[in-house]
Amino acid sequence: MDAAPISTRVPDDDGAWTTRLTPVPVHVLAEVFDAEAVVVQLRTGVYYAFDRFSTGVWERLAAGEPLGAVASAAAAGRDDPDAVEREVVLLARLFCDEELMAADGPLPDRDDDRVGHPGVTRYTDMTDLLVLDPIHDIDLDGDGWPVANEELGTAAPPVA
Amino acid sequence: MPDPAAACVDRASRLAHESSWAGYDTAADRSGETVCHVEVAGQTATLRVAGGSLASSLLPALAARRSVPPAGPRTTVIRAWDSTTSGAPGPRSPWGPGDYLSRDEVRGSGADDVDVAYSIAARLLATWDRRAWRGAWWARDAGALPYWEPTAPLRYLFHWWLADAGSAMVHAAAVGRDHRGVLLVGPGGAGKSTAALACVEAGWRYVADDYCVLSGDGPAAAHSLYGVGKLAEESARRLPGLADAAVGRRPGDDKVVFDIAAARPAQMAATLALRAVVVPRLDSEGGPPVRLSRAAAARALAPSTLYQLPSPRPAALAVMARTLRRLPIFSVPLGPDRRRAVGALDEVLVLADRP
Repeated sequence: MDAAPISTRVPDDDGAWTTRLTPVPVHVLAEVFDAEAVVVQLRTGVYYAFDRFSTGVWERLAAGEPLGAVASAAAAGRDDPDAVEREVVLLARLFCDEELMAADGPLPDRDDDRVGHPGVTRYTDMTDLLVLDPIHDIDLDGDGWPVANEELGTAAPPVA
Repeated sequence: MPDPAAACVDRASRLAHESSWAGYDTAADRSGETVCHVEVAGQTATLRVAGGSLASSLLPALAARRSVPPAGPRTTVIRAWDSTTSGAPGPRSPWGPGDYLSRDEVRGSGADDVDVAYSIAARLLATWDRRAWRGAWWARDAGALPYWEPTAPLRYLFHWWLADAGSAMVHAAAVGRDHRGVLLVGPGGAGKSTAALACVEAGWRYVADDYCVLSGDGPAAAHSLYGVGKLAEESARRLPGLADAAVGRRPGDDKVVFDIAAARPAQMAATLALRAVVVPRLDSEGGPPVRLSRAAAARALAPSTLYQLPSPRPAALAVMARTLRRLPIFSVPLGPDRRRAVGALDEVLVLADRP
């Protein structure tokens, strides 16, 4: 996404365009490779691949730009700027829903019931590594250390 | 007003570390100690292991990394002990049953500069003091460690230590020929170990089949940590030339362990300069190596590393990215035919040298 000036848009949606989103600390790691972001959510076990457009939105939001500025930058020069802005809002919602980013205010309310975004691929093949919920599968020994409940099969080697 | 429960969790990590660190003294007094030094990725740590039984479990896989005592102002010390074979009482847990999380993480890990992990399966506690560069490792019973612990001993402590030293321990294999290495990345079952050990059988140099260390600076390189490899029995049978490197199995072990450092010491490489990254594809039809994007390689390397090591540092992904940005990436068919797999990796080295 090319650089663009900060939006002069008059805020609507109760100031939602001024909302900023930041990556969830500790649990979210991200790197961009040749305009493709790889984002790892450590708590949920889901990781993501972003296309060029989604990566551009992610990077600008992560840099601290308000949502309106990001939307305006993405829409600049496009044939259908409103459609592009809707895509940005859809991405912002997705980032929050997937616990990748946290918003400091409301997000614009849009009449758009799509789930996910075509520019974001969601991978769940690693969630098995995190499915064990030891809270419910353990007993404690005399020193207070947890002991696997053998019948529940909590002992497993690390993935090789 | 501070939340008392949160403050308690914040103190728990350091409390557990100090208790485990101090408990070592009693264990060493009662059962003796083995002191050695290991060098990994240019960093040296002193290992102190209480009791011969535990030393015989933890140290063989690190034999190739033995070094002279560290020089310089910063000293990294790791103490390892267990209660059953030493007779020393173990630390008491400062956590409640709801504080043990997935990936062997414990709530509050990282607070007060102490990382903590507890493996329920192995009944062991690993703690790392980032300020003092001290690690403590305690197991309930050295004699009851699952088979995989001696194949990758102290890995949580190495993970934190090396991260704080600017490197990254990653879930990847690395082998090479003529001092030119390839990094094999992918989730469990992708064929990394089979390909890496097939290369050893073919005379290549060996860094790792499971965990290796990537440099945080300088040229892209893979550093060896453990001198062993392991395979499922069916895969191991396809490598008859490595049969002499297989070590005894205990009942219940579901993999064959190969002690490469002992059986092929000349093939062990402490470090290999990397020329390419390989993402295996299980393709019995074969086919040539195909170029892949760096993002695809990152998806093969980063999640499988980050999801199996507790409290990963944010910088770990940056170290992985640094390596991937410096190297060509190939998708390579690594089916069950070991000669074809070795040939495909050989072809990658040739392709990597082309402008």
